[in-house]
Amino acid sequence: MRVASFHQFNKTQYNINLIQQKQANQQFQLSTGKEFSKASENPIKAKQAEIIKQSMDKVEQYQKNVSDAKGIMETAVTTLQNTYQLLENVNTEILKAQNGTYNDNDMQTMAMVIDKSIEQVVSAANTTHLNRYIFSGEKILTKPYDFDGNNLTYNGNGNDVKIAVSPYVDTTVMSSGDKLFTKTINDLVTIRDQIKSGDRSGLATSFEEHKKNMDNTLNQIATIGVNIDGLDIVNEGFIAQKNNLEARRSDAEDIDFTKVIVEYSATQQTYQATLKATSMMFDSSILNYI
Amino acid sequence: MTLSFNTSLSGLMAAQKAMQVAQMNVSNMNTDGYVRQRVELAENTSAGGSGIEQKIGSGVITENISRMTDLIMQSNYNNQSSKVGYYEEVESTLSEVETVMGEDSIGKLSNMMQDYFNSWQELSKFPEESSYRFALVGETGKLTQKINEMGKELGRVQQDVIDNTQVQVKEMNTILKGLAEVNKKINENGKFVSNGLLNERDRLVNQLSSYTQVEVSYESSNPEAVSIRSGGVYLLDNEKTYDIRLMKSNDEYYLSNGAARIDVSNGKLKANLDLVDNYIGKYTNQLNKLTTELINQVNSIHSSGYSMNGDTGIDFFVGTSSKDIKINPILKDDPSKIATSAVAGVEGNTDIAKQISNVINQPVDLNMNFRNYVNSFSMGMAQDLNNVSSQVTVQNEVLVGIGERKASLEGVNLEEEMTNLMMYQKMFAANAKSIKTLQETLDTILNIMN
Repeated sequence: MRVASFHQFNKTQYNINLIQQKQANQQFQLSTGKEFSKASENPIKAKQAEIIKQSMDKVEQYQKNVSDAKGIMETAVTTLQNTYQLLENVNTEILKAQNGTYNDNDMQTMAMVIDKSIEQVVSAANTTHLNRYIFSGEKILTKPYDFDGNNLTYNGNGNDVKIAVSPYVDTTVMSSGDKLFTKTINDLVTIRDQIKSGDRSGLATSFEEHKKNMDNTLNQIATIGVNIDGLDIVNEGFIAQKNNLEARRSDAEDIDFTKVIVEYSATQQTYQATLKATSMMFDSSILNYI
Repeated sequence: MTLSFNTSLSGLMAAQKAMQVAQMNVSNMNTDGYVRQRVELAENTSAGGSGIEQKIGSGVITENISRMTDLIMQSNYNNQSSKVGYYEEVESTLSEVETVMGEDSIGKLSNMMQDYFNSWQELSKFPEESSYRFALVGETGKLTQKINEMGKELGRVQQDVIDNTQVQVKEMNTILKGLAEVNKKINENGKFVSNGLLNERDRLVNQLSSYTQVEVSYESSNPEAVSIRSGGVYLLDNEKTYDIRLMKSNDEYYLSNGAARIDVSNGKLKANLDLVDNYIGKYTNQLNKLTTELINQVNSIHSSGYSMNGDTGIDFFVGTSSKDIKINPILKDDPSKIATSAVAGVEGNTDIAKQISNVINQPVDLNMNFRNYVNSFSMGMAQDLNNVSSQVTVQNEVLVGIGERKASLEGVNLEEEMTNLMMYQKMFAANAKSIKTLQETLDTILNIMN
C-alpha cells in the first residue's frame, strides 16, 4: 500500500498521543491507589463500591441505635436494682413487724421506715435518662408518678418505646411504669398502713403480694439484662459485617499495585521505543541522498 | 521528410508540465485536504506527414492532470466524520454535566439523601432533644441545596446546548455559502476546472459532514458542481443556498431549510438535539420525579403528625420541582414545630419520625425505592458517558483507518515526487538534446546548399 508522507506523521502523532494517555492514567492509579477517578470511567465497579458504602452506612446507623438503646436500658436496670434493694429492706421490716415482740412505738418507727422507702421507690420510678422519664411509657416528658403520701397517680401511658436495632428487631427500651411500679408502690402503702394500725392478719396477705412484687422486679432485671447481652451480640455481628464490607469495597475501588507497576514499566518502554522509531523514520528520506 | 521540431517540442512541453506538477505536489506535501495531481501523458496520434510517416505519430500530449481521489472513499470518510462528530459532541457535553453535577464520585446525592433520612431516625430516638431537630434542619438544607443545584445546572447546560446549536447552524450556513461560491466558480470554469477549486469543494463538504451526515450529488450541467442534501432535504442546490434554521414547536427542537423539516442524522447537530431530548431531558425528568415524590410522601406523613407542642398539619417541604424544593420556612425558623408523634400530646411516640425515616425504602416509580432510584439515576449518567466515550475511541480508530487508505491514494509521497522530478528532468534534457540533434541535421542539409 502506498504511504503518504504527511499521513505518516499524523499517524505517528496519533499513536504517541494514545500512549501518553495510557501513561497518564497509570500514573493516576499509582499515585492515588484508586482504579478510577470518575464513575464514568468504570460505572460497574463504581456502582459496586457505592452500594457497599451504602450498606456500611446502614450498619453504622444500626450500631448507633444499639448504643443508644443500651444507654437507656442500662439506666433502667440500675434503677430496678436499686428498687429491689429497697424492697428487700421493706421485706426485713415486714418480718420484724410480724414478730409479735415489738410494741406500738416500734411499729410506728417501722411504718416510718417503710414510708421513707416508698418515697425512694417513687423517686426511682421517676428516674430520668438524658432529660426524659424512662418509666412513663411514651409520655416521656411527663413525670410518671405523683404521690401525695397516700394516693398514687400514674401520668404516663401504657405503650412501650422501641428502637430498631437491626433490620428485623425492634428492642423495647422503655416499658410503661404501670407494669413495673404501680402495684408495687400501692402494695407498699397498704403494708405501711397495716403496720401502723397493727393489722397482722392483713399484713400476712400483703406480705405474699410483696414477695410476688419482688420476684416481678427480679424478672424485669433479668429480662433487660438478657436483652442488653443480646444487643452486644448484635453489635459484634455488625462489626464483622463492616469488616467484610470494607474488604469488598477495597476490591472494587483499589488497585493491585504490583500489577499496575508492571504495566506502567511496559508502557514506558513502549513509549520510548515509539519515540526512537519515529525519529529514525524521519531521519531517512530521499533528500539526504540528492 | 518533414523536419519538424514539433515532436521533440511536445516532449519538452510535456516534461515541463510534469515537472510543474511534481513541484506543486512537493510544495503542498503537508497541506491539509490537498489531493495529489498526476500527469497523464498520451501519444499524439494525429497524422503528420503522408504515407508511411502516418504510422509514426507526432509526439506526446498532456491529456489530463488528474486528481488522484476516489468518490466512494471520500463518501466513507465523510460519513465516518459525521459519526465521530456526533459522539465527540455528546461526550464533551456529558463530561461537563458530570463535573457540574458533582456526581463524578458517584453517590454524593445518595449520601445526602441517606444522611437526611438518618437524621429522622436519630430524632425518632430523642424527640425531646432540640439538638437533633437542628441537625435534621441542617441535613435537610444540605439535601435540598444539592437538588436545587443539580436542577439548575441541568437547565443551564440544556440552554448552553441550544445556544451552541444556534452557533453551529450559523457555521454550517457559512460553509454552505462558501460551497455555493465554489460551485459558481466551477460552473464558470467550464471544462478544465482548477484542481485547487475541487480540493476546496471537497474540503468544505468534509467540514460540513462533521455537522451532519450529507448526501452529495452532481446534478448540474457541470459534473463537478455539487448539490448537498441531508435526510433527503436540500441544504444546497448547486448555487442556490437555503437558510438553515433551528426551530422549536411544542417543546421539540428541529432544523428546517426554510421550506421543509430536515431530519439530521449523525454529526454535531444531531448530537445536540439528542442531548436535549434523550440525555439532559431524561436526567431532568428523573430528578424532578424523585423530588416530587420526596415532597409528596414526606409531606403527607408529616402533616398528619404532631410536634412536641401539638402543632399539626404542617408540610415539611415547600416547592414543586428540583429547582425550588426546600424546607418549610416555618420549620426552619422554629424546629420545635417539626412533627414526630402520631398521637397528640404523647411526646414519646415517634411513629411519624420512624415512618418518615422509612420513606427511603418506599417506591418512587415502578417498584424502585428512593435508594435504588437515586443510584440508578447517578449510575445511568455515568454509564451513558462511559458508553459514549467508548464510541468516541472506536469511531476515531475507524476514521483513522479510512483516512489511512484515503491518504495512500491522495497523499503525496516525497520520495515518489522527487524521483518523478528527476525522471522528467531527464526527459526534458533528452528532448532538448533531440532538438539540438535535429538542428544539426538541418544545418548539415543547409550546408549542402551553400
